[in-house]
Amino acid sequence: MIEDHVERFLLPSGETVSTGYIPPTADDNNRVMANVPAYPESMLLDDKDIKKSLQNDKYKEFRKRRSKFILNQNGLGKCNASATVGGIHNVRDMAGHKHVVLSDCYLYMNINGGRDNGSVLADGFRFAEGGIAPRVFTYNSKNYSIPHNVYQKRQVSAELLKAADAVAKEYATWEAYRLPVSDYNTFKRYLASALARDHQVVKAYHVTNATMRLRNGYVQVGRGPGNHATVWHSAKYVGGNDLVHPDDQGSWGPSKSPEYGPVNSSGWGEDGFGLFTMQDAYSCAHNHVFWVITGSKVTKESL
Amino acid sequence: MRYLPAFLMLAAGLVVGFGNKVSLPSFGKASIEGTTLVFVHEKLTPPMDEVLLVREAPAFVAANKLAGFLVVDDDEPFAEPLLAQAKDKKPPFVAITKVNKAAGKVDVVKVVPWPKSLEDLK
Repeated sequence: MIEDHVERFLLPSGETVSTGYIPPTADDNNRVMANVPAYPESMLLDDKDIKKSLQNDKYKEFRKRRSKFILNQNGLGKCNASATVGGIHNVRDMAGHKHVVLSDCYLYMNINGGRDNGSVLADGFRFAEGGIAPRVFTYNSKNYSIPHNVYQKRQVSAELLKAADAVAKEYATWEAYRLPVSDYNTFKRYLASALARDHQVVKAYHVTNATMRLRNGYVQVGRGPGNHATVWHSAKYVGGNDLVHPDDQGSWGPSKSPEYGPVNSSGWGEDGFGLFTMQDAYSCAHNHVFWVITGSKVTKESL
Repeated sequence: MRYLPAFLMLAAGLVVGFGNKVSLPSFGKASIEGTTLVFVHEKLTPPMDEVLLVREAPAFVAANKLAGFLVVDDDEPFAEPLLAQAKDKKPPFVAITKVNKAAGKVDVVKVVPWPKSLEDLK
């Protein structure tokens, strides 16, 4: 029997949105822990530098810049692919690369086993290291477009797939790092340091009906093992025991352009974003391997 | 207007041609031409100040009508010719370059030690 990992919820606007995250087994997690390097200790920052980077609600400036990149999953269970692509868009933008809309459907169809039944975090970052094809691209002087509602390779032509595979390598990320989660304080320091460095953290959390609305700007995280993947793109500096509150960049719209998904939606959160408390951020960390995107390789297509 | 002097200095540098040509992999058909700031930094040990400086880049590039900027880790192939050109200057540094995608090359106009502010590039 195949378990259904795509759950559907209703936004306040009445639009249906989907999760689509497959929890890994303990063996899967152990394999990733053994083979994927931890975010380097040399990247850790002290409180003073974290404050310097994120004080004065810096995350709001990033929200403004990144709101135009908000994706809309279009009802598919591709959250992990959308989170990965969203994070890559952000690191490419920070590093000065030409903005190219990458196809979350291309990534999804390569990691979902041919069904719209979600995907596993680790499969997303492993594939991203090899490159993700753009939504629209030119190959051998011919123009191609990957639709934003496909999840199986057989839904597109073999020619398109071949061309997409050929261009994807121009959009490869640097190697992934896993976020250390051994205890709350370790997790907090690594997460705050990564976000203060403008790195992107792809993670899972548990969505319920309550998650469809923010409460005072914060995501209402359900109790559960984690059924949805998104990306923390920045953080609000709060000091004290929490240090920072990670800011979530969702993939349920509102998309500002059809390149990023359907635009006829008022979307989720505050223009697609919502804050997490540090405790909520940590709530699912032991069930999954959260990972950090540090950068995208410079290629001829970066310029 | 605020950054006009810096832009004129960069333009003058290009005109007098004190840059050195550096071969890079073919860039194919040109889509961007002009002056590009390339930030070359050590991948695993960047201090916080480097992050803050790079954040200034989009506004600085726009204000000075530059072609763009790129942040490059010192172990990327793209950085190799820049490191060779920098000679005794070790990362982090900023290379002021003119990228010619059509010709598949980058002309290094100047290599400067990592500044405290991009205003210092003037």
